[in-house]
Amino acid sequence: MPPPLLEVVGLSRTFAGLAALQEVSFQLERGGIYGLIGPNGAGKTTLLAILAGALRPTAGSIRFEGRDVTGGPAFAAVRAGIVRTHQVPRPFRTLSVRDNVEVGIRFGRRRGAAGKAASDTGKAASDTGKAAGDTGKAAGDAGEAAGDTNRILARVGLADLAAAAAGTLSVGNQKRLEVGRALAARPSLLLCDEVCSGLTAAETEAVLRLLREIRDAGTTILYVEHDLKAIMAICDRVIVMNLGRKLAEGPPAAVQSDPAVIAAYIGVKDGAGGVGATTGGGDGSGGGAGA
Amino acid sequence: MSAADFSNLLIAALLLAGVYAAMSVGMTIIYGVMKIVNLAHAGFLMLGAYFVYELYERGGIDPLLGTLLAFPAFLLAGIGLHRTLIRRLPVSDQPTLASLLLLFGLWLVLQNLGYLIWGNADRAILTPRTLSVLQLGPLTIPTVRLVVFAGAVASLGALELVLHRTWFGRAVRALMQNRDAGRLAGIDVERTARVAFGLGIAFTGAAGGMLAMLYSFSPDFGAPFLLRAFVIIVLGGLESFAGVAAGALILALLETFSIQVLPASYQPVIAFSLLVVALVVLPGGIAGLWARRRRWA
Amino acid sequence: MTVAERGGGPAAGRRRSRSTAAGIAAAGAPWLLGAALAAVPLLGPGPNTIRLLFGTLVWVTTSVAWNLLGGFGGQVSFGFAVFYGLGAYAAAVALNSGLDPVSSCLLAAAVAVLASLLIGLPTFRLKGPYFAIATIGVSEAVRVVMTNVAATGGASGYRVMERGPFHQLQHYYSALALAAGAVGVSILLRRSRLGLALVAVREDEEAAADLGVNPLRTKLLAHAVAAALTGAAGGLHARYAAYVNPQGEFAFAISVAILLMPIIGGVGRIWGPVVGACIYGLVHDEIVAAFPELHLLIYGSLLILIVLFEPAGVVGLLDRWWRALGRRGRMRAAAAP
Repeated sequence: MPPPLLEVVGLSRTFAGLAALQEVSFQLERGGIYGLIGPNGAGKTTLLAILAGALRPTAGSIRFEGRDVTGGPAFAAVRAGIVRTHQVPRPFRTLSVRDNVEVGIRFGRRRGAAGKAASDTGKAASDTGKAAGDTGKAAGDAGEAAGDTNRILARVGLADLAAAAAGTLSVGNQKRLEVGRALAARPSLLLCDEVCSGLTAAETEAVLRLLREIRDAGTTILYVEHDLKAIMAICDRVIVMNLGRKLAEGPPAAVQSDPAVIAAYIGVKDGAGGVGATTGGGDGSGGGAGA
Repeated sequence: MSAADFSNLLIAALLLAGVYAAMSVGMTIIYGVMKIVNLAHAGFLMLGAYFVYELYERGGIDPLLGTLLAFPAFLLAGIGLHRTLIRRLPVSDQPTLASLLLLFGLWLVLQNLGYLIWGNADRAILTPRTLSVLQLGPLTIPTVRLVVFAGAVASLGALELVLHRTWFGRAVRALMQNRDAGRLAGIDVERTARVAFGLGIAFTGAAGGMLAMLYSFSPDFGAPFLLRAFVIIVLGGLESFAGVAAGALILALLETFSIQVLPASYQPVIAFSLLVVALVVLPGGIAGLWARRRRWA
Repeated sequence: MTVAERGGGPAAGRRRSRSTAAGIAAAGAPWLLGAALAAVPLLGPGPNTIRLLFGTLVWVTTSVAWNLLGGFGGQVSFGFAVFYGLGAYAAAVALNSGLDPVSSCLLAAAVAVLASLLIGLPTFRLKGPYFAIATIGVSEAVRVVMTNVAATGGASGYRVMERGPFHQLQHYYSALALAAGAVGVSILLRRSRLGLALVAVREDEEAAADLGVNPLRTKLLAHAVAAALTGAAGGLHARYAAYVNPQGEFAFAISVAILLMPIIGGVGRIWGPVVGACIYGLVHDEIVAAFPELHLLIYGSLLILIVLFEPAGVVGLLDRWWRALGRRGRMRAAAAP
């Protein structure tokens, strides 16, 4: 049995007395979209930051593809294949959109290392490039890089804004850029932090479609979101957190009707309905059309 | 070293620590409220020194009183400066390059003004007090250092009172912790920042006066003190006043006792080495510098 | 790196051909400038002029070098005098030991690179102004140490005893070559992977790390290149002046001058530091001669004005005028029947 893609055991993090995460444990298998939900202050973003290496845990361990990657710096996490997007977009403002993506391409995981898992973003040609491995010849890499950049820009719908300065983009486009940049770094595990917040229904639907495409191309996704409809529509499994602890885990339908989860979100009422139940969907095939 | 020598050095260090703390407090206030590192700090120390000097030379005013008078004078100067220049800086919760360069430019201007008005000869404030010495049994304490220490402690005490007993002080502490939350809570950030800046300059000017009683000075007076203030603040944790006191004590102790082994011209090296040690060995103690940790706090 | 350009429409064609012309001019200008500078001695200027140009070229090198770390990378160092001084001393010692000038310069660069690593490792943990102040401390500490080191003359300085006559033009061409090399490095770096990383780190260090950039390594590399160039410049200076001393080479004023030039000219751009160095180099002596009491005031006020009104310096100002002229031309064209 191959090891799970990600194995988190007893992860904890305190900040000056405040326990942001307490003994969180879970596993992610390859090739799914996992949702991570919870009320504000549950510790979701802290968890993502620790997984991405931007923050050190105060206790616990993280194993990725069988290797211990606990506490490494952020760029090492990227080399291993874990890349995150930021809740509030952080574009490189004076660089063009194209150059923003270039950073991901040039500094993300190397092609050769991307071998085992089919984590690439569905590139059709240039498999010869992959065979050449990781020799780092500047011209060759640059040529391939340009091709990849265009592909990624097209994927996230930013192709005609390629030359624009990233700082001039609308928030919606900046979020697309976040995803594009992260994709450019060739992750096996993509950590998405609220990529749909503040988007219109149509934009949300487009993003969800993109996430599905990414998953289909072989990248596993851990998706933090407040928009519960989006989560229920797209995720295979959902992890619920509250006050730094894991509260529940399971398929969306089960989690939706878990009384503990309902209590955490809404407070104990008459128990009617459930979390994100309005569309009645949640089997991962986009039932409610994101409306 | 005899016990008497040791005690004398210890006392000298303590007295020095007091002045160092008073000198660093101004920078801490400004940084805490506005996230601006006041590179012109040295310039204001220098102006404070000359201010007290002029009052003494021309008006015969006792330097201690002069230092007291420096407070309101520099408070007004600081507020005026904020109104004209500082408030035009881009606001951020991280120190910006623009603020750095602006205040550095200001330092150059102040230095030049110093040269224009007073020339580059060394000056000193010599009062009967300067050379007198207090003898307590085996202990020899230069009177002027004791007096300056008293002044420093008094000013720090006054600061504590202002910070903890006045509405303004509470606003300042709030802004130091979280600027945006303070705004939401109804604090007039612009006005509080202005007065806080003035207060920071006031303390710096007064500290300059105190230093003038201890050392000779010229218009480029202040650069070594800028470095020391910075070391103290870094050691102490950037936004904590108790930390400033602790940092000042450590630096003063090191400097005073190291004179036994190092030639005096190596003094700046101590401050700097302390800085590097603090950074390498105590990264936890200066969490504020690590934006990453601040972001998640 | 590209910046927003909204294209399309009939005027775009005219703009495009205008920008192609501009593009050709831009590509050719540096070579013309280089050729012109190389040809200057043929016009028979006096030794004072050559001395002035020599000094300016040395400043161009340090200015471009500082800009690599401070402009592209956003790490503002107030302590570059340490590399200038160490390079100067290293070259001086090497020359006195009989080493040839070129190797002495290379040695100067090497010493500076080593220093940059030792300095960068602890100080690059600091952000922004804290890094800046730490660099002041380092530079001052080294100055104090050099003032006390007897082997190199301590405070009285150290003479360079080079055998053979003094060929001023030889120095001039060395400085020109180094300055040209510095500009070349700057251009190459800007387009390279390291350059991309540097700008990313400048814009948002954490976000850059989240994409795989190693911020410390990036900064150390840029620091090393900048130090090497600055050290070599110091070496050239040492050879020309045939004398080095701590107060001259490690002075805080030198660090200030080194950073003033790119800021005045246009920090973060390729030619900004060159423009700034030319302005400073050619004008500094005049200013100090004409207003001996005021040069700090002038530079300080200039800094303040630049920060508040034109952060992109002289080049930024020129850029704005150029674009304003272009806009006026387009409006006129659009208004024409």
